[in-house]
Amino acid sequence: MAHIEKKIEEWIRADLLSRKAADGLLTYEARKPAGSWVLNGFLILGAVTVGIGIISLIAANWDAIPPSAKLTADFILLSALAFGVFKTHVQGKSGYFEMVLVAFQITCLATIGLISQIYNTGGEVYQALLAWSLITAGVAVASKNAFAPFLWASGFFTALLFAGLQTVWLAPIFSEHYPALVLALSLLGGLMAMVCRAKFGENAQTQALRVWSLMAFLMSLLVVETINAFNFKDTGINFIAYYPGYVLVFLLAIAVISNKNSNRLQNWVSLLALILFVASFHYPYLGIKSDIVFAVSTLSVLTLLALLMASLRQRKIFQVLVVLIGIRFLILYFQALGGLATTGVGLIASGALIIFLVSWWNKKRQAIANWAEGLLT
Amino acid sequence: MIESNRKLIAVLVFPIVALMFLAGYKSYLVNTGSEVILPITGYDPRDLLSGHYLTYQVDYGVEEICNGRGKMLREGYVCLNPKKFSFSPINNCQQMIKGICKRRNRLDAGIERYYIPEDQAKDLDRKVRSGKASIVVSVHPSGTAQIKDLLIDGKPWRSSKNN
Repeated sequence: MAHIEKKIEEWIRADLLSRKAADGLLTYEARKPAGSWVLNGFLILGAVTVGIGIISLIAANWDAIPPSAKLTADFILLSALAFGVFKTHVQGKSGYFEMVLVAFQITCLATIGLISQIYNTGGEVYQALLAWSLITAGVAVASKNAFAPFLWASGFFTALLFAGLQTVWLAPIFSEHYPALVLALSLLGGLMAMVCRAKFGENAQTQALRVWSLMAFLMSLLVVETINAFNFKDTGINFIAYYPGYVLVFLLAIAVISNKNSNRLQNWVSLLALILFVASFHYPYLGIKSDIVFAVSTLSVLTLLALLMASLRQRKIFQVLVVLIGIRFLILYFQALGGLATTGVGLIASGALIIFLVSWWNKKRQAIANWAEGLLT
Repeated sequence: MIESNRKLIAVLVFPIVALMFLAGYKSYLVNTGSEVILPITGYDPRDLLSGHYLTYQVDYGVEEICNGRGKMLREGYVCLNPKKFSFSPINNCQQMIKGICKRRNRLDAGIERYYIPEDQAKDLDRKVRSGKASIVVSVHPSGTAQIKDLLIDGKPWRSSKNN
């Protein structure tokens, strides 16, 4: 409330808002449930803690309790949580609804653990995560908050990553070409976010998938840069490993072009970022082994993404991307200077550059964000 | 986001039913297969006790398991009667266990882990190392194997835990 009061006073002084309208706004805000995101955050934290507690209890494996009793108790708990989700939905208690929903989601995973323990199944963790994400996909869709879908996406993509590396039929394709798997998964995340946005609009699921896919894109850039710079083992390009990525990039490009929520300029920037992103996985195969090229490519992808996020009014994501651009720029500076950067003069220059960049960013952050937001519109 | 009550009930009931089915299927495997007792050994002394379960290698009594698989993961089949190993399903085999060859002489058939109570972990770890440990396995004609019990010196571990 304090923040909005301050803003309203500022708007009244600037003659943007009448005193009557301001009073109306303040009355409306005062009637709303207080601090909803803080409350929801703590409720979800509580639910996650309870869920971890349930998993720990199961892990302790109380031998005194017969397996049938353990399973019965677990299914009673699961049913009670499901009833709790339904009840809070009917009553319109959104904070409690999210809390019970997350508890239900985590208890489903704990139940898979319990079944594994009772029947001594020797499966891998990714198999449990895959089974969990398949049966709780609907639960993630039911959520009105981004946390439950984000939790689901984390489980689902982690499961897919390890399935690609450990299953009998996928491991021969991806174990020596894991960048191809990383590429495919980040593109799949992006495609799912685009489809979700087109079909259901800007809801919690879209937000969760967008944040998840952006994190996957950034992690993929980090992986591919590290591999390119330090650890590239020339096993030759395996097109079979890259086929899923190529199919997904094609589908993602179609989704970008047919996106009605963005203008032509935004679509072109998205496509360019996509092409540069996919190209960065292929530089070693094309005989490009220059650190400067890798850095310029990464910086270009990050800059294009930052501009895109700014134009979509995703200010927080934009700021994170700008910070990453700054970090990558500093690394490039050290790469370009080489040994010179570690000399006395080099260190003074490096320190001064960091101080200058941080101060400049702090001072101009708002102006840069406003400028970037208008650039592609 | 789901607003309809019916759809919400469906997405909440589905995981419960799926998990009940999973538990029922595991119970079916344990109770309907043919029983076999297989000796076990700790293949890695540092990793025998991992959290709240014992990990071990099953001694199928068949030499040359998973040899010649190359670097790839491959499905492997052990026939217990008559004793034989193959990378493809074995015909005329009375009891066959299916698994994945992950390295030379190592077939993972999903029976290499036994969950144990936290307070008895160290005691059981010592007994498995020193005594003759074996597992009771339920084997299905499809090759799926499911652990039924852990034996220490031929007796269920629960009856031997106070010895």
